[in-house]
Amino acid sequence: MSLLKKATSVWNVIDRIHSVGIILSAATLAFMALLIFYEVFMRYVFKSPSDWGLDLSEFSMVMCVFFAASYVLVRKRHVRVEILLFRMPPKAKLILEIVSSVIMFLFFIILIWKSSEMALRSYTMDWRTPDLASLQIWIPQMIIPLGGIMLALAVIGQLGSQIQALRSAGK
Amino acid sequence: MNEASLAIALILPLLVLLAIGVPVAFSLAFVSLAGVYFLVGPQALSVVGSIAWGGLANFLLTPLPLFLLMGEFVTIGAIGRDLFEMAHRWLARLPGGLAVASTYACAVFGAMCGVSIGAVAAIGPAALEQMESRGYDRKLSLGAIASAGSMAMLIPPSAPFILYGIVTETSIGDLFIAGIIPGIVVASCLAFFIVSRVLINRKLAPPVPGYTWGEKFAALKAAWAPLLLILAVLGTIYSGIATPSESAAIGVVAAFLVSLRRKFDLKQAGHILKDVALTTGMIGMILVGAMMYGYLLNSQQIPQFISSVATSLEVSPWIILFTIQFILMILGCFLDVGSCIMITMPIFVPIIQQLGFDLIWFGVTVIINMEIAVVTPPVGLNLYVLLGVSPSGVTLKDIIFGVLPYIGVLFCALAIIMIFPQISLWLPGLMHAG
Repeated sequence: MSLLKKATSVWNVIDRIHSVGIILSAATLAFMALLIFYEVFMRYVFKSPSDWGLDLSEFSMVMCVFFAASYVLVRKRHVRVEILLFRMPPKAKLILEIVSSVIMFLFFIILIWKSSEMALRSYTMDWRTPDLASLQIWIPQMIIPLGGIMLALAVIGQLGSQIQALRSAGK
Repeated sequence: MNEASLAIALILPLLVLLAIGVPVAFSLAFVSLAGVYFLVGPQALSVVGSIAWGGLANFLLTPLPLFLLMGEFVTIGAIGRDLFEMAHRWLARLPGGLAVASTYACAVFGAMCGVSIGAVAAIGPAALEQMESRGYDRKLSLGAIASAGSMAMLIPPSAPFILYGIVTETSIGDLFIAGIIPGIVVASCLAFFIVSRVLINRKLAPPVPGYTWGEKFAALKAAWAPLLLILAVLGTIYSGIATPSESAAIGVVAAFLVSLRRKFDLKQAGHILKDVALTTGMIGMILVGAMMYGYLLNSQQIPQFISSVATSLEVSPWIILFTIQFILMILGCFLDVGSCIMITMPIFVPIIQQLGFDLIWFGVTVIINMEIAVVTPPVGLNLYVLLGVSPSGVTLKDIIFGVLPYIGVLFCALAIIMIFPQISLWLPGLMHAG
């Protein structure tokens, strides 16, 4: 039992990354708003926009989405059609929820795998943004596998509680 | 496998996953990956990385979270209340004047906010309180607010237009400008309907005392804030000074400054940022899924196949157009607006192009169609948000029955905008000519 407790407490620590993720995502959003505003200001008032503003705002967009995504999952805020689920008996509903979690898990694994491959390729080929600032692309690209790992962790946690619920429903 | 059965094999599993409650974003992504694996080959799975990156690292997408942010700041600032007060003082003497005032207040609010629920949350409480205390028929007032709130999607800035623009590769600036006059037309249709209904049955809305000219002009003092914000956003886009992203950033900063008038602390700003980040994460994932699905369909030439079948039918293009609108309407009953647009447009837009219709005009009609979706149960978001801000005693049933007649008005408005494309296309044409 103590092992289970330990596992749970470790899991609770892992669970906090989703809250950290959403805070990072919110901060990125604020940064992006100020960055684009600053760019407009520099362009029209001083006629000297920066070399990196456009790239950074695009990277921010990726960060904003992928760092928020796992929190959205934990909070069950991803849009889904629930009409059928509501009409199911509780056990059937649980089984469908588990199927749904497994499908998501499979997608996240492929996402992590393929997007880290992409970042690795950008690193080995030393791909950079085409403009003067010449930023290394692999760094922002790593946001996607990172977000994917957070999503996978979130769905594992969800699966755990769904299976537990199914077990206790079976008794 | 011939093309027809292939099309079914790609669309049916998606519908099944959606129906069993897999989130929209991941239903799309999973079906796409499975399809790519079996039809194109395992090596093609790497599109997941390039689509997630290429789809999101896109400057065209940045106005989406920024306009959402602006809408939130405008909502917590007292602008909604001021707008209603202003409209109410000027329109009080009209039959059903308070309901007409809330309709126009929502329309103006829509010019600062890109989602339909914002206007409902901002105008709803003040307007409902007034109408209840003046003895207005409850269903009349509830329906007026729920339906008028949906105009925020049509009147720029608009989150659905941004998504439509990205998925169909049409100019977001043009779409925004195209939405202005249809927005005024829809608002006027709703107002006309309210006035005629009250003229037929006076009991629905007892007359309220008017205001003196002094009082009317005194209320205009609060107009500077909305005027400033609308000018900052639409003014900069229309004159070509700023792109939608830039005007959104200007709008966010201006809305933040305006909302500072209201006592509001950093903690609240943090909550707003987190809320918008959450919505952005949600929409962003759906966009990635939808783009992967679009890639899969295109790799198998499904949209081309469907549009060649559609155009080979010996029917008027208008029948096909009506069918498309009908399918959207049904989907809109079960899905949110963003998902609806992102899932269906890759399939519908090639058909529309084949038939020779204008994509900007089609976008406007799609958004009006979606206005109907947000007030139709079971997923009509506006209904639930309105319930949340209604005084106790109001039930969801009141709201649903209240909004029903207004849905008919939205249908008429949709028909008008479809029959007269110039209503949508005149202003963008003028912008490019100038």
